[in-house]
Parts: sequence; C-alpha cells; structure tokens
Amino acid sequence: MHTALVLLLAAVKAGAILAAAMTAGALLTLVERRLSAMIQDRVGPNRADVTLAGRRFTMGGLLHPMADGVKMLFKEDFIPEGANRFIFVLAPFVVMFFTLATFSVIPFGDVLDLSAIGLGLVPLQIADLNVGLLFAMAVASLAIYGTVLAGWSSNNKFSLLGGMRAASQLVAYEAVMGLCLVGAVMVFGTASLKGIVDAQAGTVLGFLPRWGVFVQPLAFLIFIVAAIAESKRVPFDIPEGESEIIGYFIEYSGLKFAMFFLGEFIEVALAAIMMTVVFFGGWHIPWVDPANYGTAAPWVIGIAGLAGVFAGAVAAWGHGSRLMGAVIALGGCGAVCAAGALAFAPLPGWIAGCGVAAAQVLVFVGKAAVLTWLQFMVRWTLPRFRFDQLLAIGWKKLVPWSLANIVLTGAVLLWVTS
Amino acid sequence: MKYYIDTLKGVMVTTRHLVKNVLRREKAGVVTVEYPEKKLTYRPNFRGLHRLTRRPDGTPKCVACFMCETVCPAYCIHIEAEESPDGRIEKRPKVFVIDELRCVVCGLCVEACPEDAIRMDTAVHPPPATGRDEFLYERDVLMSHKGAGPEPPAASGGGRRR
Ligand code: SF4
Ligand code: SF4
Repeated sequence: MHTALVLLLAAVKAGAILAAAMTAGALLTLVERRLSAMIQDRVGPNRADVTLAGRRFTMGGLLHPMADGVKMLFKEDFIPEGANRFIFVLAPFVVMFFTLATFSVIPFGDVLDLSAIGLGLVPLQIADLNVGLLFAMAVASLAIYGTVLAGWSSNNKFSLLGGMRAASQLVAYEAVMGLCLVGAVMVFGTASLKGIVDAQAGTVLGFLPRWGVFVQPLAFLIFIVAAIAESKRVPFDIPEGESEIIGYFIEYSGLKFAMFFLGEFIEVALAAIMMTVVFFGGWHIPWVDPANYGTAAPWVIGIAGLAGVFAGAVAAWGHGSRLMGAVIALGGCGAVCAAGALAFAPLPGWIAGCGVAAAQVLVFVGKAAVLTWLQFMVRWTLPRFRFDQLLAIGWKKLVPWSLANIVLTGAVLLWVTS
Repeated sequence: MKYYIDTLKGVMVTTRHLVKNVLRREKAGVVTVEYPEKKLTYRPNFRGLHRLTRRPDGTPKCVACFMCETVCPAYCIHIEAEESPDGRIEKRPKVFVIDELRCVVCGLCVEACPEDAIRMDTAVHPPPATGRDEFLYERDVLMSHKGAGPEPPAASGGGRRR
C-alpha cells in the first residue's frame, strides 16, 4: 500500500483516539459528579443550560463539562512569584502528553479487512509494538515526572511535599504494577498487547473465558489496587488531598489545572483499558469463538442498542430530561436497526466486517466502562489511607504477593507444559 | 483477601444507593433542595438582615443609647446621636449604619437594645452587591425593612415617656 495512505490512516486513527480519550475524560468529570451525588443522596450538577426558542435545555447536566471548559479558559492563568516558569508551564503538558501517548499501543479491535475499498488491512490500533506492554508501563510512569515537577517548580513548600508524596507513592505502585504484569506476560507468552488479547480467545476448563482474570486472578487483584493508586484518587489520594492536605497542583489555576484534572480522569479510563486488555480479553466477545464473530456481531450491537433505549428511558422519565433521553433512545434504536440490517440484509463483506469491528469496539468499551465504574464506586466507598499504611500496603503486601504470583505462575506453567 | 471482600461489601452499599436514586429520584432519599425554585421557610428565630423598628408615627424607636454599638463584637454598628426635637425622648440617631459585611450575625445587638428598636426578624439575607460600600446599611434603609413575624405591640418596649 502507498506510504502516504498508511500515514494518513495512522493520523486518522490517532486523531479519533485522541478525540475519544479527551471526550471520555471530560464526560467522566460529569459522570463522577453525578455518580457521587446519586451515591450520597444528592442531585448533582444539573444547572448548565442553553436556551433555545425560549426554553431551557439542561440535558441532564451534559453541558457542565463544556461550561467548565469555558470557565477554565477564562480564569486567570496564575504563575506564582519565584516559580520556575518553564518547568511550571511544562508540568501539566508532561502529565497530559504521556497519559495520552499510552493510548497509541492499545488495541481497540481486531484487524479490519478493508481491501475491498482499497484500504488494505486496518488494525484498530495505532501501533502494534512487540513490547507494547512495556511501552505502556514506561510511558505511563513518565507521567509521574509531571506531578513531581509541578510540585517542585511551584515555589511552594506544600506543593513540594505533595509532589514528594506523589513520587514515593507512584514509585511503589509502579513497581507493583510491573511485577504483577510479569505473570500475565509469562502466561500469554508475549508482551505485545495485541498478542495478549489474541491469546485470550476461547475458554479454559471448558466454561470460563480464557481471560487474564481467570488465569491470573491474583495478578488482577493486585493490579486493580495498583491501578487505583496510580490514578492518585481516593483511597490513595495522599498526593492531592484537595480538601485537607495540600497537593502538588495547589498553585495551578485555569486551563493548567484543568489539564491535571483531565489527565487524572483519563488515567482512570486508561487503567480500566489496561485491565480490559490484559485481564478481560480486550475486544473478545466472551463464549463466542472468534470464527463466529460475524453471527455474534448483530447480537452485540442489538443488545447495546437496547441498553441505550433503556438508558434513554431512565434519563427521560426518571430525571425529567426529555431531550437527553430522546437523543440516547434514538441512538439505541439506530443501533438496533443497524443490528437488524447486519443480520438480515445482504451486505457486501466489508460492511459486515465493519459491523464485526463495531461490535468488538463496543464490547471493549463496555468492559472498560464497567471497570471504570468499579473504580468510581471504590473511590466513593473507601476512606483515605494514611501515608504509612499506603506505603506498607505497597511494599510489604503487594510486592511480595506479586513476586509470589510470578513464582506460582512459573510453577504452574512448568507443570502444565511438562 | 478480607479487605477485598469488605471493599466489595462497601461497594454494594454505595451501589444500592446509586441504583435507588437513579431509578426513582423523586421518591428516594434525595435531600437536596433545588434552591432557586424551591425555598425552605426559616424558623421564626432565624437571624436575618437587621431592621430598625418604628413608633406609630414612623420615627425610629431607637434612642441612640449606644448599647448595641458597645456590645457588637464585630464593631460594625456606627451611631451618631442628635437631640430629639419632640421632647418625648432625649436623643435619636442622626446616623445609624450597620456594616453587614463585618456583622457576624450573633444577635447581641438585638439582645442589648433596651427599646426593642433593632431586630433581626426580616428572614432575608443581605442581598449580594458588587461593592463593599453597598453593604453599609443606612438608618432609613434599615427602617424600611419589614419584619417577617408579628410587629411588636406599639405600647410595649416603646420607650419611656416623660
Ligand atoms: S448581630 Fe452581632 S455582629 Fe451583627 S450588628 Fe448585631 S451585634 Fe454586631
Ligand atoms: S438600636 Fe437600641 S441599643 Fe442601639 S442605640 Fe438604638 S436604642 Fe440603643
């Protein structure tokens, strides 16, 4: 295929994933606020509105991320006296850049065959590195530098202390994360994320999907703790502690603060995505043989559509947001119709292929959404750890466990293969 | 391991609240009052914006005794006295200013007043303003405020007459 076309395709994929990640981050800020409100018997943000033809539309609070963005944009961009201006400005970009760069190796779906319309084989992944897992870990941990630099360059003792807390916490849990992924690499025999997902097709013991969570349960339990710690959120929010102990971004305002905040939410989504890839079979539809994805795709899309209709109904009647509910429900109906068309209409092969790809991406996003939701629920359930408890959990519990997991995995692998 | 199970139990609690509130918000235990549309009524003893009560003829009951100014812990009352022209009472306030921004809403001025001339029964907050000067409430403004409760009877606490 022509080089320019390859580059163009990569650029399109990168743009799409970038847009999706930023949108997801912005939406997660709203989800977090509404979710926490609902958990705590409150209502949550529902005020931002547009007035069209004399009627107020709040869309169930959906306009709040936009309103927040505008607000952040017009706030004073403050740089404290005595701060190292260059590093102070650089720090939020470091956080954002490395968090977003990790998305480049995530496989969102299988290879899509578009040769029929001259685009060749399109993998639904920006780059398939053979060390994808290592790359993801390395780049994600570079984002720590952003927090430490932010704490140090602000010329504020409290933010410096916050940055130091962030550094020691993140180093501890970075080690844990890396160690518990070693087991997964041993089982799946590859460090390429696409290879890991491919290795999770099919079942073990006849009924369980061959997912990382079932072949590496201990690693998953350790990983989810480490992932929550990595995103610096409650119960591991010692680096920030917005309300009581001052965090590393205390001196930041306006859009720079928004970048830290957004970066944190994207990290949550990223943690869920990494768990999906390594422990929940990525885009694999459970209990369906990859050869039968053509017949399974309409079902997946149809079920997703029905879920959309249900969510729309809840939004419209439970929350008095008719417009919002109607939009979601219409989207759901569209998905159901698309599923019907895929199942019954005689379509050219590449459209059916696109349907399969859509189903894979839907399954992937669904799994990631459930894991994100789980992280949010944990965040709104647990109180914060003390700092010595936090480090003790990291170094004295999780590191030994993940080392034990490696030994155990090796022993079981030897026993199975011999 | 026990910690994971306990965490999951906690997540179940939060999930129960979440599901309950998502599915039927109106009847569930949502305690938020959607403020501008719905307002709670204050208790009768709520300490709101100050007002100066009046005699039946409309003049202030205040006799400029400086009790409230003296007792005010925030030093936010400023009074200048002048001789009362009608001779029934000795003095009356020429200037009576309360700085509502400095006021700590303690109600001591109401307690201190021997004439029941200053009250905080308006059941409203000082409205927002764009400058600090606008929070200096002058005598006539304070006299124009309406009490939310019943007016004090005209005779009682109406000041000693000669
Ligand atoms: S309520 Fe307290 S602070 Fe306010 S004016 Fe009266 S005495 Fe002063
Ligand atoms: S308001 Fe009451 S306490 Fe204050 S000066 Fe007047 S009479 Fe005295």
